[in-house]
Amino acid sequence: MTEQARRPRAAQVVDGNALSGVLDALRAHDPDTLVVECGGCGTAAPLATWVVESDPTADIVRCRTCTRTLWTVLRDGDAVTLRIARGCSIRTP
Amino acid sequence: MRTSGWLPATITAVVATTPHARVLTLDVPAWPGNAPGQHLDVRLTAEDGYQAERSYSIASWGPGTAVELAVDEVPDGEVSPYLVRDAQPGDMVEVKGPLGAYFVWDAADTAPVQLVAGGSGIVPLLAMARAHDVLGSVAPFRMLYSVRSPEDAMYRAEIEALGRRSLELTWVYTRRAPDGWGGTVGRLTPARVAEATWPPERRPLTFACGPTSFVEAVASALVAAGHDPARVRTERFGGT
Repeated sequence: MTEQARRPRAAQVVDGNALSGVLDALRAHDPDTLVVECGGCGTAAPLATWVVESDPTADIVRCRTCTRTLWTVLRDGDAVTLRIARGCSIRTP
Repeated sequence: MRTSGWLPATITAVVATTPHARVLTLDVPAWPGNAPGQHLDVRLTAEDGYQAERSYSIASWGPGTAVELAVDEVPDGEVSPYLVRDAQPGDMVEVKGPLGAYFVWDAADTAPVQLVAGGSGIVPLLAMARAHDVLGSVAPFRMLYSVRSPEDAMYRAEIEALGRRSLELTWVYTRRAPDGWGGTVGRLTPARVAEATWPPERRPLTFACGPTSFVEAVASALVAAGHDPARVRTERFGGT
């Protein structure tokens, strides 16, 4: 390994292709085990534990602590759109 | 193992388990097997192309392409009336799964397990109890099963047999008990939950499944009694 490669790398501007590998870590887990953090009150817990209000076209994921809407999952046939509220994060368990 | 997309499935057997619920066995050639507690989605397609999907817990576990569901009829439902009243061996449906990793029992875990079921919430818990029994797990298992009346208990004979063999079983009857039953009839109270479940100091892993209000009440009672919320796993299926 060269000296150059051992030093911390400076930020580089690349594109989303570079994220396929790192985001695969999320895909490797069943979605219900991913840890979701509420941008409102900061509660963090597996997706399986959040409140979901469901109707034939949408699922609204709400914080069990402060009731804030975290995600809206819109369904149209096989198409799925995920809207994520500001400040809400998702991480591997 | 995971699959993606909808898998063709053939219904191979249907058996009534209560006056309003049936056990259905599906053959899913592409099924990769499933862990105890997982669920799947079922999709029905009408002749005019209209499609309806619902999630159902899986009563079976392990390898193989035979998948067992137990479905309780939801009045005015879109999918369950077909599965409980009309579906016959030879009928085709589509399934997606197995799904979920949160509400799953790890058979290698030897910690005490508390199962708490309300009505048809018994299905994923039965998969865990079956796995525990067949594998000869040393994890101590207790089951608390709440039903309206004796006739409403799904898999009653099998659960009684498991209760004699590999788990401690407590019935709760909310409206009517069997003749000669000495217990109290009525909804679960925090005191009855505490009486029939592992004490918090045993650090059990609890799985509670049933209607949302039932699961909320059970989980609240356990946490108030001192159980670690992170070890109280819940699965709510709406309704009352």
